[in-house]
Amino acid sequence: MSSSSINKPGPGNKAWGAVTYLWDYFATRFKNIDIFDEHHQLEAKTNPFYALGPIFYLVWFATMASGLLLICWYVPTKAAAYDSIYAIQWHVPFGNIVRGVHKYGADAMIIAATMRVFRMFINADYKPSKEFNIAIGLVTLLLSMYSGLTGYLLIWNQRAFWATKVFATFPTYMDQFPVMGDYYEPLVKSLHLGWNTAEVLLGAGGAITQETITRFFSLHLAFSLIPLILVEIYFYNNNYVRMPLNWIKRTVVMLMLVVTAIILPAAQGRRSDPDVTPLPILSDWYFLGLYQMYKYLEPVVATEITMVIPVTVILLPFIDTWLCGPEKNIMKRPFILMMTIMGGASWIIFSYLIIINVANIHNDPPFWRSISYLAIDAGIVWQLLLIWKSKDAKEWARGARPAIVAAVMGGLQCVLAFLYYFMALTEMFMGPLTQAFTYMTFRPFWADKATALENVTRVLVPKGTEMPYNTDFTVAATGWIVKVPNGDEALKQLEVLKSTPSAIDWLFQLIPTFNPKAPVYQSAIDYMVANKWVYDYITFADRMNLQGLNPAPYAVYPMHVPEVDWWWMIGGLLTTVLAIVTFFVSRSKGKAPAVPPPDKAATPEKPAGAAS
Amino acid sequence: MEDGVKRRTILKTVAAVPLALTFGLLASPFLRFLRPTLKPLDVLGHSDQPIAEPPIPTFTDKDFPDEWTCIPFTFNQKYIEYNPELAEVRTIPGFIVKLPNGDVVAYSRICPHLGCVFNFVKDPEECAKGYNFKPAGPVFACPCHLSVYDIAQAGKVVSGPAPRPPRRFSLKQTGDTYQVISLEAGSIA
Repeated sequence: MSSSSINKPGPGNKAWGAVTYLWDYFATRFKNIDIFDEHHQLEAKTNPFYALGPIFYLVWFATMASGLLLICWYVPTKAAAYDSIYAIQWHVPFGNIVRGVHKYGADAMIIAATMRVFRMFINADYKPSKEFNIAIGLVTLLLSMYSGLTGYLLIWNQRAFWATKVFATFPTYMDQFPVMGDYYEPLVKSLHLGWNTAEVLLGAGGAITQETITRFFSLHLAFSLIPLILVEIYFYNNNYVRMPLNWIKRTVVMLMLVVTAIILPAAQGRRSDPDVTPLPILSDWYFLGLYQMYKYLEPVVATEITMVIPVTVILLPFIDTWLCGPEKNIMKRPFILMMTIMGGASWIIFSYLIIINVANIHNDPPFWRSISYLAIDAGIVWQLLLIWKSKDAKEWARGARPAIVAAVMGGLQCVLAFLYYFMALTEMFMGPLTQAFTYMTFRPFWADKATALENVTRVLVPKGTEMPYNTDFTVAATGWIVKVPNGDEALKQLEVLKSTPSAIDWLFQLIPTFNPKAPVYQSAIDYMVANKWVYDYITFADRMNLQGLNPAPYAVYPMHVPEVDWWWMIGGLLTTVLAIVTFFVSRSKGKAPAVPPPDKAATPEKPAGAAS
Repeated sequence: MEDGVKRRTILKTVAAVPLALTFGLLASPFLRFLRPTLKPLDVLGHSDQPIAEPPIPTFTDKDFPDEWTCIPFTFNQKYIEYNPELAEVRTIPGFIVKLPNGDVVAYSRICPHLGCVFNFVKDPEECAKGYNFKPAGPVFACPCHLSVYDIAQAGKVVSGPAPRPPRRFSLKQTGDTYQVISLEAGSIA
C-alpha cells in the first residue's frame, strides 16, 4: 500500500493532491480495521492477550445462544418480568446455568473488550496506520456495556431500575452544553438533543414504565443482531478465519462460564419499587466508576466528561503518533503509559470507593483533580525528558514536534486551570464566566456607557434572582419588574442604552437573533443585554468584588481555591513551560551543521506509515 | 485495488448525498416510533406539558399533628402521546410537609439531579452518616448521588451535585383542606 507515493501532490495540482492524500489516509486505515484481532492470529497462538478478540467473539456467541433460550421463558412486562426470572432461575431445568452463562458471558465480553483496548495501547497495536482500531475496540466495548445496561433492566430489580433511571436522565444535561444546548437558544437553535435522547430511551415522559421495558428489550436484541449481520458481512467479504482458537481453548473458556454460573449463581436482587430508592444504591459493576464521578461533580461537567472520555480514547493513538512516531516500546511512550495507568486506576479506585462507601463528596474532588492531572503531567514531562536525552542534531530535530504537541496539551490544562481559578472564587460556571470575560474584552468600545449599562442591569435584577435561560433578558426582566423599585424607569433607560451605537456593532449584527420580529440586533449593547452577557459580567464583577461594592448576599465572595488544587494548576503551568523550552532548544540544536535538513527528520513516521 | 480516488467514486458520493437526505426526510415521520410524544411535523419540538389526572391527593389539617410531619403521596400526570391510547398516565411520588412556621408545602420526590426518588431524613445524625452532610434540621436526601435539600429554605441544595431545588406542587387550600393540584413544569428529572 505505498499509496501516497503515487498521488503525491505535485505543483499546480495541490488541491487534488490534498484530496487524494486524505482519501488514501482514510482508505488505508479503514482497510487495516481489526474487529476481533484478525490480523494477529499468529500471535494469538502464543500470546493469550492477542486471543482476546477471538475470545470476545466466542463469548458473544455463547451469550446470544443462552439469550435465545432465555427468551423462551422471559416475560417482558412490568408485572411478570421479575417472576419469570425467578422461574428461570429456580424452576426451569438448567435455567440457572443458562442464565448464569448469559450474565457471566456478558461480563466476560466487557472484561475481554476492556483488556483488549488496554493491550492495544500498551503494545501500540494501532501503529502503523491502524489508529481506527482503537475506535473499533471502543465501539465493541460500548456496545457490550449498552447491551448489559439494557439487559439488566429486564430483570426488573431495584439496582436495575435506579441505574436505568440515572442512565436515561443524564443525557438531558446535554441541553445545557455550550453552543448545542438550550442555554444559547437566542444564539443557536437548540436541537433538544438531550431531552430527545432521554425520551427515546424511556419511551416518553419521565418515568420507567412498561414502554421502557419493551424498548429496552428491543434494543437489547438490536445491539447484538445488527452488529452480528455487519460482522458476518465483514468476515465473508474479507475471507478471515472467524475464530482461530482450537477446541481446547474454546472448551476452557466455555467451562469457565459454566463453572462460574454454578458456583456463583447470577443474583436477582430485590423486586423494583418505583417509590423507594435504597441507600446505598449501586449500578452494575462496569458503570460504578462513572457513578462515583456523578457524586463528585456538577451534573453538566460529569455529563461532559462522560462524553469526553470516549473521544479522548479515540484521539489518543493520533496524539501518540505525533509524540513518538513509529515507536512501539511502552517505556519510550511514557505519555501513553501514564494515561493508561491513570485511566485504569481511576476506574478501579472509583469503583472500589463506591463499593466500600467511604468517599466524602466534599473533600475528595481536589485530590482527584490533582492526582489525575499530575499523572498526565508526569507522562508529558517524562516524554520531554526523553527528548533531552537526544545525542545528535538529528535526534534533537525530531523532538520539535512532540514538544509542540506537549505544549498544546499543557496549555489546555493551563486554560482549564485559569477558568477553574475563577470558578472556584465566584462559583460561576464556565459558560457565564466566558461570557463575562468576552463582555470585559468589548467593554472599552462603549466607553462611558458601560458603567451606566451595568448599573441599570444591577437595578433590574434583584439579588438572588434565578435567571431563566432560554429567554431574552428584557423579556425576563419585564416579568419580575413589579417587584423592583424604580423598575419601569430602569427599563426605559435600558431601552435607550440598547440603541446606542458603538464601533463594534457590525460584528454583533452578523449574529442572527432567532426572533422573527427583530431579526438583527440594534447594536452590540443590545446583543450583550439580550443574551445576559452584561448580567454575567456584573455577577462576575460583584462576586470578585472588583468595584468594592460587596453587596450583602455576595459577602461570602470571592471564595478561596482549595490548596490541593494548586498542585495541578501549578503542575500544568510548569509542564507547559518545560514543553515550550524543549521546543526552542530542540529547534536550535536540530539546526546543527553537517546533518540532513530538519524538515526531513521531523516527520519520521511517514515512510513507516506508507510501508504497512 | 488501485490507489488514489477514482472519479467514479467521487461522482457516486456526490450523487448519493442529496438522495440520502431526501429519503431521510421522507422517513422522518417514522421517528414517532422512537418518540411517541413527537408532534406531527415537529421533529425537534418539545413534547406537550403533562396535565393533572384524578384522583387528586387531598389532605386536612388533622393529617399534620406535629411540625415536620411528612406524608408521602402519589400524583398522577397525563401525557399526550401519539400511541394507540393517545395518552399515558405517569405517577409522580411526592412529599407533603408541615413546616415549623405552620406552612404546608409539597415537593416532587424525583431528584432534580438524575431522577432517583429521594427520602425524608428527619434526624441530622442519620443524614451525616449516610449522606456526607450534617444539616441543621430535617432534610430531603437522595441515596443515588447524595444530594441534600433543605426543606426550611424552600428546598435549597445544601450538599451534593444537584443543580436546583426539587420541583414543587401547587397546593389549593380551602378551609382546613389541602389539594395537590399541579406540578411545577420542568425537565425529566
